Amino acid sequence: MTTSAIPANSPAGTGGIPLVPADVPGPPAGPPGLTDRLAGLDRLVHAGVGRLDQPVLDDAVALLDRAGQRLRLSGEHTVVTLAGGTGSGKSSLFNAICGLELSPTGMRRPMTSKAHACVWGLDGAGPLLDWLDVDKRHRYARASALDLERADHSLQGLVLIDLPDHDSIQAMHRAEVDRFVTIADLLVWVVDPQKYADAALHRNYIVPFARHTGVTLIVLNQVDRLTPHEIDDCVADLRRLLEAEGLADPRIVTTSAVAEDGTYGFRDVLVDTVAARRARTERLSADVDKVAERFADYRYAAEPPTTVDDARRADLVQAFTDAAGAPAVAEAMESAYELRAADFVGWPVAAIAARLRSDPLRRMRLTELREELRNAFTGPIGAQQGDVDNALQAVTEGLSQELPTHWGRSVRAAARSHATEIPEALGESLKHALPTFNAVPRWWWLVKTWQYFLVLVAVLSVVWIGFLVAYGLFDLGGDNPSRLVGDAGLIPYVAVLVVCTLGMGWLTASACRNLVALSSAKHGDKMEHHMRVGIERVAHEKVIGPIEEDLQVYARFRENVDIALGR
Amino acid sequence: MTPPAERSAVHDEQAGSGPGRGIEDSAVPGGDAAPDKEARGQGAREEDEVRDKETSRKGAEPEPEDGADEGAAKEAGDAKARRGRRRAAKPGAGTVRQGELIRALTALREQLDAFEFLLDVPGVPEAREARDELRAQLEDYVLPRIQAAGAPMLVVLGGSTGAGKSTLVNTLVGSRVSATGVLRPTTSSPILVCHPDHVDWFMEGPMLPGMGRVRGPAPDAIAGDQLVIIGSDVLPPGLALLDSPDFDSVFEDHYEFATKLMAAADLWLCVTTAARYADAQVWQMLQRAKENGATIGVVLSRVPQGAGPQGAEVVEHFGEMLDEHEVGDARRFTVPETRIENSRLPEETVADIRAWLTGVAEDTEDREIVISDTLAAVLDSFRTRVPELARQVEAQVEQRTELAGEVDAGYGTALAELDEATRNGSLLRGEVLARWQDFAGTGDLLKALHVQRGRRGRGAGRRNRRSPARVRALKAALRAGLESLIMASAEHGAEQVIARWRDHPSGRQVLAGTDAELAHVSPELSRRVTRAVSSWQDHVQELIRTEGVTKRSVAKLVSFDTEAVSLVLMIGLLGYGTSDVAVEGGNSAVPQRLLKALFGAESLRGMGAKARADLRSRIGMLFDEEAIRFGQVLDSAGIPDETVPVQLYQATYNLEVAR
Repeated sequence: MTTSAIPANSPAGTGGIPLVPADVPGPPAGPPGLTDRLAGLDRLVHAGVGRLDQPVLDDAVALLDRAGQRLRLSGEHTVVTLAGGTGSGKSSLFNAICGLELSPTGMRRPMTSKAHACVWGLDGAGPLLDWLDVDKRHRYARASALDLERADHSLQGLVLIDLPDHDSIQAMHRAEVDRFVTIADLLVWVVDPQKYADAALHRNYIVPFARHTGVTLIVLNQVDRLTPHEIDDCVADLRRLLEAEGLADPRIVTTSAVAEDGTYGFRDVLVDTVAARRARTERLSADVDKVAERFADYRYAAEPPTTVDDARRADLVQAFTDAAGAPAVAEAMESAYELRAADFVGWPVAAIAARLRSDPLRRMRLTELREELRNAFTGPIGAQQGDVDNALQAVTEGLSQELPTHWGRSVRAAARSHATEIPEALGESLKHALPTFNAVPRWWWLVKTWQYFLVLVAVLSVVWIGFLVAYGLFDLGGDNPSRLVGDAGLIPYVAVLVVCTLGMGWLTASACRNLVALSSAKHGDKMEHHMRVGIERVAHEKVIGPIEEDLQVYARFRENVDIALGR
Repeated sequence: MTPPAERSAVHDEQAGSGPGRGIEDSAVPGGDAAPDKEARGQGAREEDEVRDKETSRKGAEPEPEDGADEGAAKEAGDAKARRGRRRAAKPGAGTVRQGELIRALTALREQLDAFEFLLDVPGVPEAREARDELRAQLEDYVLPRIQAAGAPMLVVLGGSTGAGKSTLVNTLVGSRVSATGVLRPTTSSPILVCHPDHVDWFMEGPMLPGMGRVRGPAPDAIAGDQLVIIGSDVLPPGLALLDSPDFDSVFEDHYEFATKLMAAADLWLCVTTAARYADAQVWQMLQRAKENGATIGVVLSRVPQGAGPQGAEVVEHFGEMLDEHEVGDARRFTVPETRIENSRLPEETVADIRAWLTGVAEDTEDREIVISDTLAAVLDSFRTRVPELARQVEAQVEQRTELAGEVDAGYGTALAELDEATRNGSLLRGEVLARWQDFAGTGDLLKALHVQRGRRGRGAGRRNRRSPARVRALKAALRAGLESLIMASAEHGAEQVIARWRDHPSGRQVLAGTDAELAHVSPELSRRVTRAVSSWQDHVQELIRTEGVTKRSVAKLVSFDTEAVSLVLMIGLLGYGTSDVAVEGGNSAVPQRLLKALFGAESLRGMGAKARADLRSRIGMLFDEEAIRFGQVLDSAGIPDETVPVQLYQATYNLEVAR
């Protein structure tokens, strides 16, 4: 594969008839050669799929395709198209250069309806002509033994194509012209004094191909119809027109197919172009320029952010925390903890008393509901999709404003790529933060034992009082009861004991409740912290990661635009 | 083209309604055109040198009218007499009818001004152009022509750049009035040459009101878009020649001028050359002139001389093409390629053009025929051109309807999703669920139920007014959850609409003119949502209070706190226990069972349905308000509404009636 690294060859334009201007812009001086630029363009297309407007991508793909094919085909040949309006004398010029009557000429308009090609030097031209899709009947070759006397070596490597007109009522012709001008290496526009300012030519071809000024040549034909003075006026006017249309330094050659030496100037330009073998890469470079510039519209000059800043991250995590209801989950878990703790450390007497109170559920025959309600603590389940969506919206809000529209959209899409998984992932991450709550601390058992011991003591004491009353006061146990059960004087002491145990139980319960509250608050805090960590991880995995990836794609895209632009 | 019978029918109707107007008037168009056709039929293709009236009439054959019915029997002389009568009848009968016609035309012009082709649907650039052209033709030609019937015949020379229009004008006038040269395009300002008597009329007259005028001769110092008017004795009084700029050079304004002037011509001479007669542009312009009702003449200039067969071949081919494009009835001339001296062609090359032009112009009758035929053809062309425009407007209206449909569809989808989300329990996640668990699990829910102790149930409710922290927390969580769900749905709806519009070719265009805010919910939405959700909560509570008739058997035993129970109802409504929030081990959802036990199944169903309907209608209202923004965008974009095409059809009909 050839690159643009062809040695600069001075394209000395030494025509007899005014050839203006002589100098052709040199090959791109910057480091990225044509292949690099095409590779850059390829990466742009890959980055742009699904993000940028399809027509731009399509054009770029078409160009990559075309460039690949053209670069594989003969670099020895330079494809030159002769295009112009009806009656401007393309075919006459073609025949004059070829030196034979190959393309039909005549008065009727439009005259030529198919492209004719003439090749100087056949080696490797076959595939090229196949690619150009020139009808086999309309292919001619020069530089065979026949032409040796004419010393036609100077044009060796030229593929000259005579196109149909672009402005006649035959719409088919225009399509043919459009096809060829997109693939030719050197575009030659043949105009005549009558039609050189036609809108059809300028609007449809000159202006869209203004960037290709390096590989464009304007031929003012039929100058034999004008006086020398008029020729100068005409060329000056044409040049002014072209420059106004954005062609920097347009090359204009005047020709006359009638005069003997009328086409020498044009021929000289062709000789130089063919000898330089550079038109192919220049043409493709101009194409790449054009397409790359359209890609350049999709980037801002300002350096884009490549990471999501901390404030935005914190906001996102906060929003996710709210969406998952982490504080509420923590509170609910604390309540559950306390409730369970109450089963252990609570004062059984109070619980029994409460159960004796009238219960609306029992009255409604819904007692089993109570158990179900107790089991309502199923742990955190998911997060609010709405909250998650709003959070995602908020995180990209500011970011996408710093980006070009299409990339802003892409970043938003990236942020949302996992939107539906997030609630579940958040729920999962919270679940992982809750291991400690199902464990029962050992001291609960101790307290429970203590409480039941106290209850036992209290019950025993009550029984003791009963005995004391029975034996001590009413002497039921006979004469000789134990002093312990017979001494009625002990009753106040035992009663005090009962009151004390009851009081102690109650005190223990309330003290433990405080302890439980403390530890549950501590657990709650710890849990919230764990949850936060989990949420941060989810936020990073599902949101921040994709966003930053996309931002990096954009950053690379910007670099590739520069490469494709050849900067 | 109207068959004469139809046209006279129109006139008859008109005459019947108008007070005391000439019956002979009504007979004129049909009766007049027929013998004229007769005369044309005899020698339409003659190319010989002719100066007599017979040929001048032949040239004026823009309307191939088919009125053989009564006209066939009559002689040419008879026709002449009728023509005379028409001229005599005109000034008297004209005024009333003319007034009506002018009114109808003015109304039509106003209708044409009243809308914009905003959306780029296929065919719109053409329609825009057609509208401008129609409007310009009304202002530049039709209205002035009706008002000034006796004015000179305006012959406009149009054609490709470099075809030699100016040279032809110079030759016809006999002096260098228009610049010629090798630079293209040469003529940039239109130059009008007429008899000195008419210079003032053209300077001040109603023709081409939009153009500035400069009194000539100033052929070289030309100022922009000014019409240069030059008097010349060589031209007969009834004739005015207008050298128009080309229609195919790089200067767009030339094209505009050329079409404008073409539309204003009584006779349009299209000048093209042997080198470019096959250019697409030439045929497009001819086609257009034909559609616009112009009377056409064709000049093929710069035909190669000397090499006889070649020149003849071109002329022949050109003739074939004219026939192919259905402009074969246009008068043809050829001018050979010769040396140009003093910006003029040799006199003999333009002799037949001159003869034809002066022939038509000098005979007032023939001139009248050309002028009135062109006018009639132009008015005829309105019959198809205005409805064509109206159809394009209808296409715009249709696009607008489609876009409005997309808005409905976008928000409809969002609303359906929202509806589903409020039903399937997906709202019961995160905080709402945690708060519910907290509320239900700790027994606060049960505290909301009280055992009746002799007192009436309502009293117990009031006693418990303090609404514990967990109730408040659950209520707030529910509100927040619903709010954010609605906000997200509204956001989603807006996005959907934007995406749909972006996919729609016209939608993209409408969007281009709007600000980015449209893609998001409106700024006041969050306030509205808060209000809607909290009033829904109040509504549910109110429902419980008024309709929550406790089952008789339960009422004796239990009273309840309406706030807490309304929360239970909401949780139940939002789908607790329906899908992924199925209660572990529970066979049926707790809230439903509790509520059923409290209120009875039927009453519960009723309340549930009412509460849901209320929520839906509140959200629907919010979404409608959101959707209105898009409606406003459509309104402010200036897309025509459905009344415009109707009015256009009406204006066309009125015009037909007035003719």
